[in-house]
Amino acid sequence: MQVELQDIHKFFGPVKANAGISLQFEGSKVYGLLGENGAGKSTLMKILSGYQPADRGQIILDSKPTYFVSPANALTQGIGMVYQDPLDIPPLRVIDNYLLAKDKKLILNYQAAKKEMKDLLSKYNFDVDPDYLIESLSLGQRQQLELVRLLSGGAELLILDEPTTGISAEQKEVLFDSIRRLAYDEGKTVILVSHKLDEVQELCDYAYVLRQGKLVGGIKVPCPNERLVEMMFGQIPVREVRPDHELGKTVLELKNLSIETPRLTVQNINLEVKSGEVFGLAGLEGSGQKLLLQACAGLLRPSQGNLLLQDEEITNWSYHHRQQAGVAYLAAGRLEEGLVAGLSITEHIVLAQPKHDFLVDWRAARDITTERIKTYQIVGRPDSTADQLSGGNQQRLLFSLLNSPLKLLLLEHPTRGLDIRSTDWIWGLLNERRKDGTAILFMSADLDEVIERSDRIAVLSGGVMSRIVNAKETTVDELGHLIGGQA
Amino acid sequence: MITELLSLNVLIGIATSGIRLATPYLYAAIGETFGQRSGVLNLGVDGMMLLGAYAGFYVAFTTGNLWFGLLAAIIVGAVMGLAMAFISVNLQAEQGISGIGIYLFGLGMSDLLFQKTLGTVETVKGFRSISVPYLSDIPIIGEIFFQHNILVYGAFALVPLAWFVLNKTTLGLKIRAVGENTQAADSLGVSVSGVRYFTLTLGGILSGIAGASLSIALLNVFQVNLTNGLGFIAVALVYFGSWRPGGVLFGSLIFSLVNALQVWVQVLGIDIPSDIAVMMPYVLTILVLVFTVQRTRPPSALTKPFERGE
Repeated sequence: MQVELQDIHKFFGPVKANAGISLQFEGSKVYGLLGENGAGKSTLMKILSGYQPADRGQIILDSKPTYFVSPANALTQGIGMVYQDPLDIPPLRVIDNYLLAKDKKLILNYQAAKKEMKDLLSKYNFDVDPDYLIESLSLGQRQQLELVRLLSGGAELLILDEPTTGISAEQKEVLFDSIRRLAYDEGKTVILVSHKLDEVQELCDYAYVLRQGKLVGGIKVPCPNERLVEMMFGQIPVREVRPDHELGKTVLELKNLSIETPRLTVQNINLEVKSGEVFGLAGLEGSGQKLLLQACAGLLRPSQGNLLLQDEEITNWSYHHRQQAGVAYLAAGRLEEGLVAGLSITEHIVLAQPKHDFLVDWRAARDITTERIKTYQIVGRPDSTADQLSGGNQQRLLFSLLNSPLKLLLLEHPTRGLDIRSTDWIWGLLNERRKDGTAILFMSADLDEVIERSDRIAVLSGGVMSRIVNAKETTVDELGHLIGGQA
Repeated sequence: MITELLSLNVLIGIATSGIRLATPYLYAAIGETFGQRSGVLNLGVDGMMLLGAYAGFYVAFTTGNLWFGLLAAIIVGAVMGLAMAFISVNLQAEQGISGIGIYLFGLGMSDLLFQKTLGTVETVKGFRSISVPYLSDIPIIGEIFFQHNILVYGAFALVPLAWFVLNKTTLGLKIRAVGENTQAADSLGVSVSGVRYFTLTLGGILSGIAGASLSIALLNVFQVNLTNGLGFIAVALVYFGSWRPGGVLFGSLIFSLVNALQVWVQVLGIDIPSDIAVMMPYVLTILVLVFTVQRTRPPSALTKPFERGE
């Protein structure tokens, strides 16, 4: 199938998300769509998949102009998209979700559907049990389910939005194999929306680069990384070298800490994080890193063991007590756990102030807000609500809410979904904190990030912690082995 | 006196009226279950029931045909359901508030029509009991379960039917999907508005029947505020039953059995202040709710209007 986008425009209020983009896609090819956050990739792909209409411009399928009224309508014409957060219905079973809107008969035919689904799943080496509830699946499995559903719906062009964020290395291999197979054996078109250059280099035949809502150009890949970076940013950003730093006294100490949850038990964790140290936690999603961070923050009660903050026993301290003592926790779900969607930047800053009077001094609050917006380079107005901000700006807002000085900073995926520039900027901030003696304990799914940014690293695998390795002496391979549970 | 309560005849009586009294709760709560499973909280059930009860009674009273009365209740319920659907789907109104509006409209309108058309409390001969052949001859069991009128049987038949529709049919799957994630359901090609129109109209129809079951099958009268808040109990029963028809049945039975017990306590003249007796079912419901019901999550999209795109 030949797909052409002609002069696509899309505005959100005064923001030009897409400003006249024209692209072509052919069958039997894998395309990369690159661009930093806010470059307009997702908007463009949502238009192509029928999720939202363009304000101007045309979609042409096999030289016929067409128009999609909904994602389901786009699928009937052969275009399907797997979203970064899969659009499925968590409390339903896998098979229910697969059957939904597919089975037109009055009474559901589970037997036939299960067989059909199992065949498709095994064809692509996907590992999903049709009887499981979707909420019990990993992100990678939900993705596989979406792919299978779209394929059975007749998709000829598949769009994958940041598909490797949050899935395991093994699932990534399976995904890449199936993408190759779909393109080269079955003649389909695959578009990979990503900001991970390595993946685009590895998988794609051709890459389009967007910047600020416009097409910068297309390039055959593999090609030198510098070329892509230059297209994405207009210049090659200089990566800051991580400054060396004297470590101070122990800030956080875990002694034989165990955490029990219905799904996972984290056992006997012993570790120390020193003042000015960055300690990285690696491991597959759900191996216990998050539980560990939450226990340190006071959101989860350990079943056994002790937590010490600067030699003081804090095991039984509440979250708020620890906050006052200088512990901060930034969750990965920015809008779900960190920010209040409907509140403005100013209101967030007022709430985060360490002291509150009976009446809010809005004038003073506005001044502080303006200043924070400037220092933290947040793209937004003081009265913009949190859900109006882009992901990168939400993260900046979260960081601007942290009080100073902090003794201990706990971070869950601090740069997930952010582009290179925002990532560097965030780590610049963290390095500043480090100089002030803050101990930083963070988890990340990005092994390069863990190795590059940490002083020391521990890997969790099924709730068991590996030996602690020195970041300077380890490699991605070594961590990979530890993640797999090998010593 | 208390020992009188434990005699076999009284126990059978309590059980029999318990079954009878569960009827309006079942119709209304099963209807509400459909609405809530599709993500719409309809607090107007009681108002819809009142209009259904009035329409059913008035038509049955004037035509002398109970089936015409039932049909009138169904039509009035359907119209009210469509109104609720229009308000919550097209106008995207706040569901809690629009439901209260529907309730007050139903309460006032049924009162007004009653004053204008009937004026005084009249009675009709309601649906007669039908003894199920053979089964009704079984001692005790037969008397409790198989000597009721058609609307009572219908209410109990509705429970497995609703379970089947929700869990085994394409339509049911669509309803559940819409109630959990409207965006995802839409992207899969399910018409969110269509599904909600259907469930709310069905809910309206069942509310109408629930009202009619009071006015032409159980009490056989109509008066102002005949339902006495029964529709609100039905909404509570949906939560109580964790959005499952079986759970709703369980809740309805507990509630109606305690209600029947309370009535018998008063009939037998047992020396408990009547206010306290009347309070009993409610207190018990709260207690059961607190202690026995397993915690299930409500449908995620409950009370959330749907609009395509961002």
